[in-house]
Amino acid sequence: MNQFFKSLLCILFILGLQHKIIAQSAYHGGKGSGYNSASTSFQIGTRGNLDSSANTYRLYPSPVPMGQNLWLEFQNNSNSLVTVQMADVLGQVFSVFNTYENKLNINTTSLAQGMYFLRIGINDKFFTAKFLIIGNH
Amino acid sequence: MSLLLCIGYLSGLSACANNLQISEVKMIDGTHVQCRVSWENAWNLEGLAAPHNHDAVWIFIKYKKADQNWEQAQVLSSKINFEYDSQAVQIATVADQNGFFIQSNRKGSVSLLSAQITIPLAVNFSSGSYELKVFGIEMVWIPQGSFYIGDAWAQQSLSRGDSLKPFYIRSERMIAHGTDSLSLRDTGKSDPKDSIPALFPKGYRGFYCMKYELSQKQYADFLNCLNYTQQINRTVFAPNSGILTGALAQPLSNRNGISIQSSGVAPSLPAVYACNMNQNEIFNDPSDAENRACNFLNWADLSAYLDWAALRPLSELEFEKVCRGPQYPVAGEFAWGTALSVDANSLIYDATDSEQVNDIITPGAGLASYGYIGPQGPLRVGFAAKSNSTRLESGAAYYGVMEMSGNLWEQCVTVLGKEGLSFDGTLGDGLLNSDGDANTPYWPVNTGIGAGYRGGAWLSGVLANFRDPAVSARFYIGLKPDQRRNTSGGRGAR
Repeated sequence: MNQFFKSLLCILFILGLQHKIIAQSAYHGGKGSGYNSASTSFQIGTRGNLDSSANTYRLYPSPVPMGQNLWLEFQNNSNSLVTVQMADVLGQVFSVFNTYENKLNINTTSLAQGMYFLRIGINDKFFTAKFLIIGNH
Repeated sequence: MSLLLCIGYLSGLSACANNLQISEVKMIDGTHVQCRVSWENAWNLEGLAAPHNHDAVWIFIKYKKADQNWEQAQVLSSKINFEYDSQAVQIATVADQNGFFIQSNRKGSVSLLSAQITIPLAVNFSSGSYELKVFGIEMVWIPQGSFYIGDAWAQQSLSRGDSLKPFYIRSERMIAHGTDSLSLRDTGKSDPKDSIPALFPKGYRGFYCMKYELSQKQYADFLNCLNYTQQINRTVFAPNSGILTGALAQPLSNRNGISIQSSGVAPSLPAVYACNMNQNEIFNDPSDAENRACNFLNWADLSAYLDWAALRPLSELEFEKVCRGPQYPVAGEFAWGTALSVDANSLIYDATDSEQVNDIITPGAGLASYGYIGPQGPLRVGFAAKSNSTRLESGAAYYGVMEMSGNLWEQCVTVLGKEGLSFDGTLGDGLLNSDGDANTPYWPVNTGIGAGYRGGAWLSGVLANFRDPAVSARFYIGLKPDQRRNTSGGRGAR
């Protein structure tokens, strides 16, 4: 019985210590402040892709007439696994493609008119392309 | 064995705080920005221990086009396009796409939280050259919950309608003005005179509050994202004034060191502002007080900053929630929960990022900058918090927000009249009008009617029966903050 109460007291002590120590962490401080900022400069080329991008790509036709397939070509000299995510303007990914080649043919027949994004991952590096689906005239 | 393990676990919870850093910013592919965010002693005590909250950093992004105008860079609201170490941090996106929150994904505190984040932008950049800037502000989560307003002691403290007892806020529902126990009133000159609408932010619902008052670097960065005309209204001297001209007051007045680094040219080239407290030829150097609280802000300045940063003002009811949390009021108490205080006078490391004081704290007292002696201006934000400080030693409010008593007056939306009571907590949208003014609906307008002062400042008195830094003191709540006072600053919420 005594052992039980000793254990109970020990647990209560630990809980009290925990409460005290943890609660203080919100009140600690050091140097500097809670504000910072940093900047960068970049250039967008006439094709709409980043000029300094580590990868260059071709996307055609652009814009894409509704119902036609889209071709995406990119650098993949080492035949690495390439993952391509297709997302809407809200960032919702609705299709994912995998390939070891340097191009991809994408069926767009189910897509409505509007802007879409392709997020292409090669060797842990990512770049993004965008394309526009337009109505048939 | 378990005791040893437990102590080992607990010892890892203490560390230095703040020191927020944004670094390694780069545009990856025209639609994704990558950066590193780090800060010290992030905490998440939800479900673990009082005060059962967490801190987070509000990140927002601006970009400058060829026409030299800065725009808000919206961020996709879907988390799926973010990339980050989900073991270390979690991301909370927002519906208005004007930024996002990043917080620790671990319970307890983390001595140094550092994460690289890839941020998906909802911006369609046309061809051309751009400059892009990522901003971070540490904020503290104030959880949803009931709390007390008024301490039955302080000047013009709010109270129940039928007595001087504290009023208990238990929802965001309308609060009547009257003489019964469920109504709110003030027997002094700052009586609300009308009911408080349901939409007025009362502090019951959870919200984020800036952990610190606006700093001088923070305001200088803001000025540098405005055009020439907008700068005119957010400063006291014309942007085409000479180098070293003060931004908000005469140079170095009451410890404000924001100066013109490069003169503007009317009407199209804005000035460049920087901190230069030591008045040497190097701007933003380690002893230029970049992290010191920014004084000389009037309501128009503060509300413009908050609109631009996609935040919003605090209401005076929220002010008391942030300070007191769920605890029952103590008569005459300060933000640290007792009625005893020590004035921060013995300044060391002046103007550096370690600016602090070495005053001896007496038992039961909290440390704050107030009174008529000592530094004649504000101190560094978070000056009193140290690697192992307690709430009293750091002068912290219940949830971990700093300098709610003293340093600079907090400008809050009041419950005094229709100009304040129409405030509904609408968030800023990141965009100002062409004059550089806030233009968010239902905020108190530039003249400051509907806004007032809470929390005292470095020049406030703490006397036997009169103490402006007290949590419930409202002596200056009816003084509209239209002047750039050497004691006025502020912070925001979201």
